[in-house]
Amino acid sequence: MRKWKSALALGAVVLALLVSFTGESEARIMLTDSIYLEGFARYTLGVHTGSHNPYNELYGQDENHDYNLARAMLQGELTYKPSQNFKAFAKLRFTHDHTQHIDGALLDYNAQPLDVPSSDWTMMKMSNDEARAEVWELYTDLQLGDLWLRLGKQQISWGEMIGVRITDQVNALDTSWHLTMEPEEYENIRIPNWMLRGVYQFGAIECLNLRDSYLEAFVNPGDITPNQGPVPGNPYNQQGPFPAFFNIDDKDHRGDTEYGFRTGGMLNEFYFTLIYMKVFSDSYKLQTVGFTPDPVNGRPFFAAEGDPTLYSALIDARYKKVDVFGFTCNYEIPPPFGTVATLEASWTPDAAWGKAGASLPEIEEQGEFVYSLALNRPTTILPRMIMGSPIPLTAITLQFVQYIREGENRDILGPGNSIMEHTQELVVFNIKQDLLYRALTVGFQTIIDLDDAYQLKPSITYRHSDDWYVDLVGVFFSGAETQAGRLGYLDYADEIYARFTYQF
Amino acid sequence: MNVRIKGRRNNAAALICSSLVITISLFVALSGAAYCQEASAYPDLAARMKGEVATIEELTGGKAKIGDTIDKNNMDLVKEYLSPGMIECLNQGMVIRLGVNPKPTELVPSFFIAATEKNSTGVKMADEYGTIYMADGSKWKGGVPYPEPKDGLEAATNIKHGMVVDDLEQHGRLFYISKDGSVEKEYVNNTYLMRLNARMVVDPTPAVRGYEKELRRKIMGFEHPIEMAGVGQLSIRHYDEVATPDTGFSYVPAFKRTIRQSATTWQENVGGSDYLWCDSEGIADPFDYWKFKLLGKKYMLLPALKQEASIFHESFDKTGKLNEAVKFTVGRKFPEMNFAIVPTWVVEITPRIEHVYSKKILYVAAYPYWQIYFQAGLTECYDPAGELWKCIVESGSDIKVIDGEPYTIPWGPCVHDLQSGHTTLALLRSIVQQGLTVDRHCTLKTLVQFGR
Repeated sequence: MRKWKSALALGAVVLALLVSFTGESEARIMLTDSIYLEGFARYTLGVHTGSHNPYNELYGQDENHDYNLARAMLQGELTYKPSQNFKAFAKLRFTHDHTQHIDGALLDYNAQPLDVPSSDWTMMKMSNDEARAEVWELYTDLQLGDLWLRLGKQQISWGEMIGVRITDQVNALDTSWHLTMEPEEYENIRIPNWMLRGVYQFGAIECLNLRDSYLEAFVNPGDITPNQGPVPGNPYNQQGPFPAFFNIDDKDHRGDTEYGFRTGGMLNEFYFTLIYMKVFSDSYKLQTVGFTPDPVNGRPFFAAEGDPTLYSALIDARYKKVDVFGFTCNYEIPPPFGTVATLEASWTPDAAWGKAGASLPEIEEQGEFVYSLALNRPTTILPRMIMGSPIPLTAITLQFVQYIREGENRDILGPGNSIMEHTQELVVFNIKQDLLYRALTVGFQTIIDLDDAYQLKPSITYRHSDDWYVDLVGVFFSGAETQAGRLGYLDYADEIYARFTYQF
Repeated sequence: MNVRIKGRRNNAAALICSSLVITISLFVALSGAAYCQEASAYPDLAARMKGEVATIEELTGGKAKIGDTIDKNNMDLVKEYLSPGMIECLNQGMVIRLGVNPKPTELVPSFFIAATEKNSTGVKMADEYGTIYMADGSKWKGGVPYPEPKDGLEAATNIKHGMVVDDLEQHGRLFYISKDGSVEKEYVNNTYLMRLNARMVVDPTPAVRGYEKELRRKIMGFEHPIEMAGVGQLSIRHYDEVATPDTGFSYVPAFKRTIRQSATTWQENVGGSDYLWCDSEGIADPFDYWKFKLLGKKYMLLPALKQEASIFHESFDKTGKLNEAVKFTVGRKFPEMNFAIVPTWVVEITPRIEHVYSKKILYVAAYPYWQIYFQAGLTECYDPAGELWKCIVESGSDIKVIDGEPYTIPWGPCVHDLQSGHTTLALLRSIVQQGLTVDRHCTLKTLVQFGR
């Protein structure tokens, strides 16, 4: 305990001192000719506007709460770049979550659950229930001719879509503290892993009429981290308690290997990528493997066969290793349409699901095909000049997503044991407008589940000088489709949050 | 008698004629305006190559002298040689010094002069959009295609195809400057620019194999502030830009991935500044967006191609610090620079498409008063209502000698919004002829490397 407190305090003090010594004329802090520091201090306050969290109610939270999130973060990004061919980068984070202290209605909970035993140094973090000090990213870049390597704790994001992860399946997510509600989408919550990533640039291959062609590969030698969701008591908690007779063994795959390949290039004016990866599912599925006598919490499973003993079910929480085949392609429909059309698809032939109708949890393998088509067009909506300030184009994105699952309709279970339809469709609409020399940005995103559920996300960002900016964001869920994993079921997480950021 | 009378009459006529000649001569001598309006006063290519260009002292009959400072109080002395945008800048507080340009041989590399002489005689314009080929149908081989342009399209085509260098790396700062001259924000960015055709010095020449259909690639990534750090953009201009419109990609750190981007974003501003992507070089967006008209050729005061001191402090790349020897007026809004008389082609361009500008006036320096790029020393942009909106001043230059050849390297554009009083000062310290390659410096992977 003392160890993490010392690290947290030391890190915060060092960063604060460095910031305070920065001259106004310098845009960033040059520690030496080739080492510089940037970063930000941020405070986020999320005001709850939704209904009482039904899952926390099962854990004993009696009344609705007022605050979803109260969190301070100091982030430093340290870069060492002695040449164009080499770079070392570290992103350090110090966070303190004190939501429980400002809202008496909340239960005690662990606000920093993403952790590993202290003997495992690879996650490079120390935390208690409220505070955490961590090295979020740490990697080196090396350019060797046409080969570019990145080695270290990093995020790899493949694919091109907004709001959905179709081929972006290399890293898991830490949704434990703010779900996926951050304006940066996944940047702050995609959990970096120790990996080696390499890109070899072939360039032009004339016989194939290809330009910008490359082969990219990654290997994760064992830093396997599954998704981390909010824990019971957290205002965003999405799960009630398991039955007492479930004896669950978490079969994580730390130490195992993941890898993947991607190749792509420009074929005429089409840019495409082909993807294959062998990775572990980021979410577990439960598989009953046996029974054990349990006179306290057990059930008489075999009473009908003459055995009145009470048993607990022995259940594995498994993260299945899956093959993912992906494809992306984009093309610009030339002006005057000036619209970029993007297609992204993935096929996972051995995706893991829960088996619908089973008396005890069982895993069912069924293939899943996901594709999305997006249209993106900067458009003139507002007058070109308002209040003496030129108005830039409005960025508009319209995206359609469809999930198609093998097998019969409603024969598998998804997140929270929700019944999965054979197909599921989403429409994403995103609009963003900069104003006043980008001092102000107004945005609106909606994700519509065509089975009648939706998320609305209006946002305003105000930037003052080089240093300060404030985000004001509303996130609202609603609709008749309220099964777990669908947007309508999250209405208890509705909120309006403000982020105050000082960047340096 | 008759003879005498006749003689007297002749003497009288001679006296009258002489008086007229003297009067006209005095008038011409005292009026630079009349001088510059005469076609014969505008130096042809041969004269320009010898540096036989009038100075401001000659043009004003000595009223304005080299070294004089010009501001709104005395600008009438040189008003004839100032564009409307410059006049408004002076009214808003700009101060300039009168200077002279070095000789052309000290401005432009000899290989470029040789290429211009050799190639410009065989150039063929293929369309109305500045697509040019050699007489044998091959692609342009380098130099300035039209040293004596006959129309606006040819003058603008010189910008499109007349870049002196094969590649360019820039370490840049965008200073957002308020009406009162204070620096509101400062963004840091890096740029790589490569020609894929008409390469003259840096291998591979004359084109990059496999990329012959492309004219140039430009990639820019922000480094600071952290909210913008990693945002990058790659744009590809094709040789025949009508047959194959521009291709664009961007990298968004929040998504940690590259995404395709519409080419219509040429009219988007760079990081919220006054500077639009299409403002670079006066005309950076596709030529098929515009119609071209040559308004005339005349002497103009343009930023001198060699300043008394570089604006860049030696630590500029890392700290953004400016050389204190360069003074500013109205806070950081107007760097005090030398302006010199330059023979100039004045080109009006009007959009064929819906555009944020109703027209632009490009003041294109006549070759060989030729920077490595940004050859439109001044650009004036008019708003949709037809009112003068911005004056883009391609600030000063540094002359650097590389392998014995001089390169005139501009500091970057100052974009003055004359209506709001806001300014964006884009200072870009350039490194040229580095041997950049497409696969290492100008591809999607580079965007990821720029990114976070």
